[in-house]
Amino acid sequence: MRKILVIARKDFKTYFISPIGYLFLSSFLLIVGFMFYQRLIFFVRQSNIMSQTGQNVAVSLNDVIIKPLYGTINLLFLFLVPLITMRLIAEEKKQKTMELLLTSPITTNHIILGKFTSAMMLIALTLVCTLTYPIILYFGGNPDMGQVFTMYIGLVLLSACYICVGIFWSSLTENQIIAAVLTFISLLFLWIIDWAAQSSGQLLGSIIYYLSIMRHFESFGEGTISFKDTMYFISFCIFVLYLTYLSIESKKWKK
Amino acid sequence: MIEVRNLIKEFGNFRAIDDISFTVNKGNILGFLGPNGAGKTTTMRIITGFLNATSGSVKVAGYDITEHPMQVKKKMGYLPETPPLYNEMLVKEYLKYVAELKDVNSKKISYSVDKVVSLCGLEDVKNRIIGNLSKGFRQRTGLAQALINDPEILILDEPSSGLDPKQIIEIRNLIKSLAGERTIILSSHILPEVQMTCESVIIINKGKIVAVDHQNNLSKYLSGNNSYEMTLSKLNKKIIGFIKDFDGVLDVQIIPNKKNAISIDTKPNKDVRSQIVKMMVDNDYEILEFKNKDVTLEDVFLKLTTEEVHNI
Repeated sequence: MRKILVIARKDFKTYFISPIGYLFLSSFLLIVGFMFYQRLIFFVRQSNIMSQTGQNVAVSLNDVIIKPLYGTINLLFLFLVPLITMRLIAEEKKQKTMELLLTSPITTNHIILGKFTSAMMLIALTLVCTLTYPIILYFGGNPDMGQVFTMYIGLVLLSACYICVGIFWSSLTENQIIAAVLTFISLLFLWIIDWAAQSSGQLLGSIIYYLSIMRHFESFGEGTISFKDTMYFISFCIFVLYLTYLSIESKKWKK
Repeated sequence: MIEVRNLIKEFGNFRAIDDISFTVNKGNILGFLGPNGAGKTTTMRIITGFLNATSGSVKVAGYDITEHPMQVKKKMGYLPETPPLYNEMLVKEYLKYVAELKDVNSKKISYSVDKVVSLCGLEDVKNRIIGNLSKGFRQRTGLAQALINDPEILILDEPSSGLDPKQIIEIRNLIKSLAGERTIILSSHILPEVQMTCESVIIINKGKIVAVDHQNNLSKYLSGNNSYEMTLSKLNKKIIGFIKDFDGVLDVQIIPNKKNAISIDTKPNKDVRSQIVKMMVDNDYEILEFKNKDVTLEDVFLKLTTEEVHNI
């Protein structure tokens, strides 16, 4: 455990030695902030119209602001997570520092989990920054904080999956750009895979439907924490990290 | 301390290491000598656990590297061919990180860092970014990294590459001073370097051990090879014939690409140099230079592989 943290701390620091950490945080917060502002304006206008026309339909803060906002965060992660994972193992290989890690008294699992933790720390930091928006809403209105909470749980699980995919591709190449592109393509594919479900047969369709990563995120957006979906995310991460383990170990056997 | 048995490593169809066995005793310095591509780096990578062997075993301090990698790696310091450095880190920061990776007691970390910094002469650059260091300092930082956990076993892959002559001498002395309690394996393709630092030498070529030298006989063998080089003011067939007829001289040959230079091979166990010089002077032949022939690594290989003498 201590060794995982040693690696995680070093890699987390590296994000902020190079511009990548700042770039990730600032571009992310810029777009999420813009989105929040737009939805807020929309909400205010909508409620004004409602009160002027005397309609007594409740406008939900959660539906108009929070849900679209977290949809945006999810979309941004799809684009930005490849940028923070591409370096993790590819750069170690390129700088020949993998030789240091693999000949030090640490296991391959320590390395992989350390890398995973460092990227999760950066994601956690960005998510903490976005807490401002529900807090603003909390003081100005009456949002359903329970739903906000489950959405954060969902986002953490979802981004963990993205990171695992990123680390896997990073372990297969020395080239960061290739790692990033492959990560983005595979994440995008996991997003749109349920389109194929509709046109497939019953059995195949249901399998594809189950694999679709977004289907499993939906329940968190509804304000529930589903055991089934949580298990999907966790087993997804374990599976992909195991593939990463195999990819690193296999390098010992051939060149 | 280190026991290598019947090691074979294949990359596809290519056999990089072909049935290598040797042992290194505690406190010894073993030199791996061989041209580029001989299998030195691959052998070291297997000993450190970075690569797995196709077959054969490596035991370090009684532990098998594939069965108990953690125990072995804790005792080991390794300087790879390319020093494993993070270009964006400071030297001090990097050494601290390696110390943490290598299980150095957290209370001793700053002490260990200071120790290797002074040992490897890094005081002036310890607060600089590694990416900005010169090749020599990068190499030293790599060496410092290998020493940080005060390892019993040191594996150094071409430790003096990229250093200037003064630094090479410093590094050699450093390696010598590290011996004693530590067991060291170092590789090189430079003959004098191995001669100077190592107690025993393994010469390896095309993945096979060509020669093992236990008693530091290599240098004796090399200097006592009864082959000399002579440069004269003028050279003709008469002079060559004159020297050839001399008692004790086996062969005389013109050295190509050198003006008026000949090589003289004499019978072993008989030093005829002074007589040759005396005869030459008496016959008014002017000698400009007379010396032991330089022995290069290629000569050694040639000798070892053609003479079929596997134990010098």
